Amino acid sequence: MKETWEDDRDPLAALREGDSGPFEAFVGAELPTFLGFFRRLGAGRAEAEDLAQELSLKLYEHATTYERQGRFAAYAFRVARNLWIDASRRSAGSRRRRERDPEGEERLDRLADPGAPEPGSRLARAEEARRLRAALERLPERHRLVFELGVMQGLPYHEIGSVLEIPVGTVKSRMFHAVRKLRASLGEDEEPRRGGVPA
Amino acid sequence: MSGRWSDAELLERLLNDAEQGVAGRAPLDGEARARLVELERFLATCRSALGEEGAAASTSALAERVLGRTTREDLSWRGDLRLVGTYVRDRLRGSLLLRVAAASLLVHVAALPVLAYLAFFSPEPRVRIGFVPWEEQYPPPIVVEDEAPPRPLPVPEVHEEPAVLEIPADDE
Repeated sequence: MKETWEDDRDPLAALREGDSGPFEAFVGAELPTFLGFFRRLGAGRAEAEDLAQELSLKLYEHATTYERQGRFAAYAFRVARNLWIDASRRSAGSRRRRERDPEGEERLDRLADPGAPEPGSRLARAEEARRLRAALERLPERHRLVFELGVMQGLPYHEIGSVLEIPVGTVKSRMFHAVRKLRASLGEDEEPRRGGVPA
Repeated sequence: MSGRWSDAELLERLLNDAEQGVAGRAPLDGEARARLVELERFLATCRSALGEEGAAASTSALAERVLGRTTREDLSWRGDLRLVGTYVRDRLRGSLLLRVAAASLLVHVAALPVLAYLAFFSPEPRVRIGFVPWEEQYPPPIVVEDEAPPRPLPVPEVHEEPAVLEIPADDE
């Protein structure tokens, strides 16, 4: 019977009990997630694969000492974030933010396939995606991490705070700034509303 | 009393409250609802544009590598060999210097039997391998004995007489 990965079946706890199915399902299902995570943070393709592999091995090695505290996904992202920080420090000053990605650009070009219906909107979407990627790379890393975990990975604020070891208020503030800067890059920024109750 | 909703609060509604299933928030007014829709559309655009980063990559080979080193690890000698091979391949792939060193080692190892054949089996040995006595290889240096300082050469005495010019007399 093929095991499926579900958040309520902690893979590491199952490993400790001798059941490797949830862990294998987790690896199969979530490797693309972590690949995308590291890529959007600025890793090249090869580096993202190395980091995703290192993450899986680390999780496996920690099975014996792992104690469940909250959702496994949050724990996995915490380990991923620490790996990313270590990798950034190792290559500080010499990192190219993103290597050229011919496949990604080809993908964007396919979106602009002149044979496809409504070429104008496809081109516009491809251009929009390109600008978004560039804007994401320009974000400070602390904002980029919060955006990645909250918007792309769908973690709630308190889990983001737990992963990044920051208060929830800081998560809110960084998320606001990240979204504002990204919207500005697409020309959508109106005067940001910082709120406040009118007098 | 209705308040103005900040973008940060609307973001929290979109990203946090749905996940948390938070209920009981104050209802939004028309303007706030419109901005919420804009934010939601923008976030959907981001997910759509940026979400392909990992999805397009082929991860089956990577997953196999991971599982081969974790739950499906081969504990026999074949597994050890595979592990060493994977390690060597990964290290070589990551370092140009290592690749050059490995190529040099291969060249040297391949050249060794050729040199040995030339040294031992060619008709006229071009290479002589043996032990050379130390004295033959490094002959003692030429020892120069200290010579006595040279004696002065005997010089005969010279009597000098003043030269007299003999001027023949004039015949008168």
